[in-house]
Amino acid sequence: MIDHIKPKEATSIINSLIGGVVPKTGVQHITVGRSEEVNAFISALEDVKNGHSIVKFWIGDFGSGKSFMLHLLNTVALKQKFVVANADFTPDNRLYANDGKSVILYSAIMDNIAIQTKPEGGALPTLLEKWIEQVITKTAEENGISLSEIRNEQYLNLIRNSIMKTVNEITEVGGFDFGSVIVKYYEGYIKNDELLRRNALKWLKGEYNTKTEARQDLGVREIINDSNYYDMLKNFCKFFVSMGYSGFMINLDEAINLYKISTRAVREKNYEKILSIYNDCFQGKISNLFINFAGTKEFLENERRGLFSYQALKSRLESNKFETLEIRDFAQPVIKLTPLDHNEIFVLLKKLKLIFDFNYKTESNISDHEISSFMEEIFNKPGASEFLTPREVIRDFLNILNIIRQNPNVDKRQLFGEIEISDERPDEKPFEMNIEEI
Amino acid sequence: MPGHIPPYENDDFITDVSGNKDTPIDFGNSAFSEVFSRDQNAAVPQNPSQNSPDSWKVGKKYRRKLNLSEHQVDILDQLRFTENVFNEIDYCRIQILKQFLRTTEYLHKYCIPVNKSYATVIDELSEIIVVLQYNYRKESLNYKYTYDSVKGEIFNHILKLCENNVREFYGIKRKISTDFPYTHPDILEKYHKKIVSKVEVFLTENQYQILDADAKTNIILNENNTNRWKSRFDLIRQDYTNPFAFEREIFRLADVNIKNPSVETIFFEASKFAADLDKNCALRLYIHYLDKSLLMQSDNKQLAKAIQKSLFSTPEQIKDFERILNDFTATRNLEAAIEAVNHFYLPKRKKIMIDRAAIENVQKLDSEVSQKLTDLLSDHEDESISITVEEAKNENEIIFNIENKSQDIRASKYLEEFSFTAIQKEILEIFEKHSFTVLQADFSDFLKSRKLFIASSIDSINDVCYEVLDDILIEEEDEYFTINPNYYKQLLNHD
Repeated sequence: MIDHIKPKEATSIINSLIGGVVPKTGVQHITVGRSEEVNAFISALEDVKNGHSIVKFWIGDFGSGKSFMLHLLNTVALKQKFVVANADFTPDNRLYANDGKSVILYSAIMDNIAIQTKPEGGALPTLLEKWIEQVITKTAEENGISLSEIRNEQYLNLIRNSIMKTVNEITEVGGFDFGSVIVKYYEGYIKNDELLRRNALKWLKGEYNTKTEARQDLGVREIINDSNYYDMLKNFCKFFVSMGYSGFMINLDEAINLYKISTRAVREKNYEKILSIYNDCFQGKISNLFINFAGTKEFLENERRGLFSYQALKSRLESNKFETLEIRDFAQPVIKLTPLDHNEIFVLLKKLKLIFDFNYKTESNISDHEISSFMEEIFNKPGASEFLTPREVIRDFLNILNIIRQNPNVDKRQLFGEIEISDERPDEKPFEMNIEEI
Repeated sequence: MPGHIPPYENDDFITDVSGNKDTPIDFGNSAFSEVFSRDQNAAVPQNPSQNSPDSWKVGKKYRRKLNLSEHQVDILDQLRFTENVFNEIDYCRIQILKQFLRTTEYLHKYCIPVNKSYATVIDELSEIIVVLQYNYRKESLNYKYTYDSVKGEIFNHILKLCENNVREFYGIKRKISTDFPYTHPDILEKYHKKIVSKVEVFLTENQYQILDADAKTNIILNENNTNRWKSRFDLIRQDYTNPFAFEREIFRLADVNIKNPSVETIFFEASKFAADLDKNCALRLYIHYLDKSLLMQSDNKQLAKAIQKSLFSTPEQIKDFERILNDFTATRNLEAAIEAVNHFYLPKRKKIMIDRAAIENVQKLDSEVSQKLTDLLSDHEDESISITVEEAKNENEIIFNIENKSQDIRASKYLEEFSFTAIQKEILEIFEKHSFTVLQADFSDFLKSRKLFIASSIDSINDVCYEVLDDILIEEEDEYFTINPNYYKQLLNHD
């Protein structure tokens, strides 16, 4: 039932799941019930690698596994040589703004840039340096100068021109300033000017608030702001691809925060931005960009405040009319995460028992019948129908396995009876149901 | 009594105070003699006053029941009820009379006439009315007769005020007319000043003395006043403490509305009210509403949508409740319906049905996708463009001027698959020399001396090793860069 699991993965899975978080490694072993979704994103990643751009909306309510899917997506994308960035929408950031809230989102994205060898984020300097190294190598080859020689200050202009030329080739809007700042980064390194290097990085992350400040520090006229940050993201995408990466994947979670914007005009401007990103990606105006939005059903389908309130998006994101609960279409931009059914949860728990046993080199004394008894008990707890999520089911199950492991004679039925369900949802307005007359 | 001629019943001038039975005059008629002798032999009636010509008078009638004094009997005898459904109820009539007696006693005791020659303020006012309205001389026969008649009018008006006071206390919204028969402004002004204003205050203050209506009376009152329950219902609502006490009070209210054609409305309104406080209670009351509604054969009202929303959180709950209602309508088994409602909100225990075939399918799909992901995440050679920094071809021109021989040795130190560049090997050796932990500042100085970037240098090594190690080789730990010795061993060529 479990193939090729490594001890390190087993430990990571068990420890993370007990802690209620998605494991860093080995996540591929616990994707029960998500075969279609996984196939959908693998195929999407393949398309993006081949130069297409894609936008996907991962839609599901609290506990449906959005974060798990995004994490799995990250893991696979990093392995597939993608540059990946994750950011959450918050009340203080958004896609469209004119008071700096879009740049806050951009900064969050740039801060979280990750690559396979730096999966925790903060990989922007590494990527910059790798790119510069490539330019240096290429320039050295073209000019017949040794790699150690060309790093001397006397060749600074040569490198500067190469950087500017290369940046101009790969970028469109804002390319000049972008190139100039990379040159400054290189200068800072060559001249041992740490401040210059940090200022260049600060500019690239969108952390300059005024043009004056940027001009004083770096000699550039523009800064990254609410109106040009998206162009800069596109520049970075091309920049990463030019280095040999498969593409740039940006995951934006907690999209409910866009739905929560109280001013209708501002909300619609944000949806308009989503539409322009969507159109850019699917009309081929940009290559190798993969953007994922994760949000609740409300965020997508609410006709008054959700994406469906914006007609142009509604027409693009409405479900395939031939799709049913049984016959799904995962090629659509919207992937709805349906809750795992009892059979899938049973398989997942059984699998977790095997991973647990493998991790602790033990043989847990819990039968299939007892697993289903545990499920019955937990699904019948007060509050289960409202609050119970796979996270809690898994956590409780592993905790019980731990108790059994350390106390083999414990009464399992009593253990199952002690389970309590708590509401772990963020504080949000309850979903209103339409009730027909009796 | 056939053939019996009532003796001057309507003659106000002759008053029989004997209490004896009437003796008819014998005109020599044999038929009459027979009848008379038969009457003579008849049993003596139990109530001696029964045959009194004054027995219909209020005072006489209630003498024993209200334990009246002679004086009170005299006063009450002057009263004439304007008969209506309210005062026809004996209990109500008694309460009216008691309130009347309290009022007149109060007037006699505490409302002193201005002219001390009058015993009471009523006597004084009667005089004023006779003078102002009729202008009769005091000694005239007309005066005497009219004076008594006016006095009776005043008493009857006070009686009406008392009746309204009792009506109000019993929650009867409709009042009887209390127009005073004498409309002369001076009379009205004096009457209001001396009597009405005082009586109204007294009645308001002494309304508490009226006894609560008993169940039998309440049933009659509610039958005649179909909205009377509403005021009591409002009180029950205001006093809500818990669903059981609330229901108990509603049932009591329904019991005294048993003959009220609107009785089902009580349960309906109670159900609406309880919806926000106790769902079970609301459903039970709705069942009782339906029960009464079916009995009355009236149209079933439905709870408002807002109330339904508060009662039912899922469409399944609505269906379940509909099922209970339909069963009840069909069987009319109230007990069963109430029992079903009592269990309505108890969580229904879900049975976990494990479908073997479905599980096999889930496992199969999972195995496939897990394999696919494992392949994607495994350490196979990737076809994508290598992003490692390429060394310049003429390596001996870089940095170190080292003999080829030693280079070969160094090259052979690491497994060939890693294809480390010279500088990468040098970096690895620095780690080896420093027991795999190097201060970041020292490492930075070393790379800066060669004009190399720190981050990209480390990353390029990590990138090369990642395929084999499936992890990062060089890690940052506070102020140090470290290498896991076990990982390092995996890089070495052990041949």
